[in-house]
Amino acid sequence: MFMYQLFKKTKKRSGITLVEIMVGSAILAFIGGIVGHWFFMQRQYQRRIFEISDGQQSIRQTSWAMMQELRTARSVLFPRLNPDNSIHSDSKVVFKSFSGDVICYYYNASQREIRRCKIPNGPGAPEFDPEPIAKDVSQIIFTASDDGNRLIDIFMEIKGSFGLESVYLMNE
Amino acid sequence: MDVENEMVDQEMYIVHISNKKGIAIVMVIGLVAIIVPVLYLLSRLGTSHVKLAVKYQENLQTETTAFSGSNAGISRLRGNLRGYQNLTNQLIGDESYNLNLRPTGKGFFQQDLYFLLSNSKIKSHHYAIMAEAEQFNPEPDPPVLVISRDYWNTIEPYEIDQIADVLSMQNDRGVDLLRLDETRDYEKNATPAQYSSEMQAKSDWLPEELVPDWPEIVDNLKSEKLSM
Repeated sequence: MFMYQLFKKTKKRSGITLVEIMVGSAILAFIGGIVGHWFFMQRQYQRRIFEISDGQQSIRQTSWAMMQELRTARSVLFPRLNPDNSIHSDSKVVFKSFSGDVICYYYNASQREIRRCKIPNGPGAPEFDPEPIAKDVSQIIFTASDDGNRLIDIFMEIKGSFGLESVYLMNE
Repeated sequence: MDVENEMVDQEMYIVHISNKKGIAIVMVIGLVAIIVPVLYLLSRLGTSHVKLAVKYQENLQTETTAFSGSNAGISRLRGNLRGYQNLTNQLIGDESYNLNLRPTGKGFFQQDLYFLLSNSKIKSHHYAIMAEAEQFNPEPDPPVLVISRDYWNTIEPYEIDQIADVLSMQNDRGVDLLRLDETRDYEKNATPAQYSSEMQAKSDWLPEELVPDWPEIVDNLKSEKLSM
């Protein structure tokens, strides 16, 4: 009887036994597995969404950069309507800027980039922007659709997202 | 003996409860350790992307609002409103623009010359347009003939009702206009053959994407070349 009481006293403790930790860990591992799998699936899904979002964002930024310069440009030199007045599309656009120089945005297919260069309207060598305007570009199409050479449509595809913008040249 | 058995049962029950409590503590600590980081990560995901999209939207809205201001200026001139006009905080929808029509003198045909300034600001985005406008005398009634030209844009935070800012804008725009004069002078002074060969010679420096169509571009340049 005395031994039992001693045993009873030693049994009353406030700590956690190894068995409890193991049972708790097993349940946690099970829950963690379910949560982890769900989290992994969500990450995969979000990665796809972000890729589309990144593509759209790149399209917007690229369009914005080109449109700012095109809007105050003076005339589009290339592409222009075909001789039969049908629309003409190309992967580059060349125009006279506000200051009269020739500006070109062109697509480098091997690097999948859009680049800009400035060609002096007069003596002097062309100047190339050190950084591309956009990267990971699948395609870009500039379309001339008016005979006044003042309206340009810009179609772009980046990372599976598409964008279409039109810009009208304001200056003569 | 019965009392002893009862005490043993009670002890077994207490040990049973104690086991459940331990498991519960480990579970709570573990779940908090899993759930808190997961919730934090989920809350962080996508925030930067949404911010970028909103930024672009604001950029576009600022530009569109400033253009509305510029068009409003032309409408006012067409309506035969003359003299200095400074209109601030003009609303278009929920956004506001500022408009400044600053007379700069008389033209060759006694038309009034203006600087047509318009700007808009949405959060940290600015957009300002500066152009020249010629307002002819109405014969006999409005609408007046208005010719606007040399539109120039900037995203610098210029205040168009501050003379110092307007002077800065004039200077910035003036640099581009001086370059325009240079290119126009070059076009005027060169013969079509000289101009064509000078531009054609640049073909050697051009990127390969541009080379095949360069002769056509030079032809277009030549067809638009200014003459004396």
